[in-house]
Amino acid sequence: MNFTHLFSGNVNFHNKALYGLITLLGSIVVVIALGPGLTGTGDGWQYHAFHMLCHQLPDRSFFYNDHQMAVCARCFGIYGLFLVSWLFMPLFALFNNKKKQWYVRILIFTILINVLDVVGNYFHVWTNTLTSRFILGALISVAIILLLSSDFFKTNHGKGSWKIQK
Amino acid sequence: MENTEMNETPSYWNSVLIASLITAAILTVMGTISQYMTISSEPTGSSFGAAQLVGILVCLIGAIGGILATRHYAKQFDITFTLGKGAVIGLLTGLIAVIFSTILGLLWNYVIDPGLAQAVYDWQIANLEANPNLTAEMVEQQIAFIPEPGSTTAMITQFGIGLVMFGILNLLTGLIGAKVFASEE
Repeated sequence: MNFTHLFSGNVNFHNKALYGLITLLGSIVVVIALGPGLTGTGDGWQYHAFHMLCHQLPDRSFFYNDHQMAVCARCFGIYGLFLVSWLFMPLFALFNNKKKQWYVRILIFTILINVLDVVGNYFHVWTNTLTSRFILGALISVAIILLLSSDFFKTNHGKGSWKIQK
Repeated sequence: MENTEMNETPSYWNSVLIASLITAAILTVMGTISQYMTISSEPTGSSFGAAQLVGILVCLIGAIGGILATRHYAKQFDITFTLGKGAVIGLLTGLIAVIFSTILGLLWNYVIDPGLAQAVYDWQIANLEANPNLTAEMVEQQIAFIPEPGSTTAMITQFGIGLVMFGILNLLTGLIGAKVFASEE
């Protein structure tokens, strides 16, 4: 079986400049989100960057290199997995064969389960953990990438199908 | 669908201004409510109260500007546009929302209730010191990045950071909005 045909000429790359810009911005955001632990030094200016966007509570955040990250676990799931998924977007395009509405519903669903998770934890219905918040945050980003992938990487078969050449 | 490509492309500034005003108003109101909820509660060291819940919603609302603007633009003129244009619309909405929100916040904190910022600052410090899970070093670290009320440097820094972060966030939601409301698919 020859899989190289899947990746050479079968996937068309659109909106390259925009893809590059988002990659750059996403990388900057993730680097800042990692907090002062990335360099091990500094006055923690990274916390100011996300102060208006995240509660930054220590018991709800991961620690990197003994320094609290600049964002909570849920936010890091969103930003971190957004960048990773964004970089692996060509692979998403190979499976992107549903209508747009399907992916919109997935995105809305992932947002709703995060809201439900926050509210459920607040009213002590359940207790979430750093890992569960990270995963739920990550799901939002994966849903966003699924929605956008066909605008950046499109297969020649039009609807994201793929075939194996023997 | 109206073919606007043959004519001049309609301006998106109306949609940007409307969406940024709505976003700024909601951001300011919710942020102010969150502050009043904070200072009306006891600083027991609890890390997640009603005020934090409202604070999280503020983040969600702040990101929605791009969606609102692109939806308004697409529906008002019944047009499609590219992801790039959606990103620009979102970016501008985020930037202008921060400007409006800053003005509204300054109005509240300097004219309507000048003591609010100091009260919130004092509460936050008291709450951190009352948290048994934090070491002294952690408390100091947390206090260091709470902006001091009335500090011009802090205000300008927060404004600049807000422009960048909300700009990026709404650029992304503008992208999503263009895909959902204005793509030809």
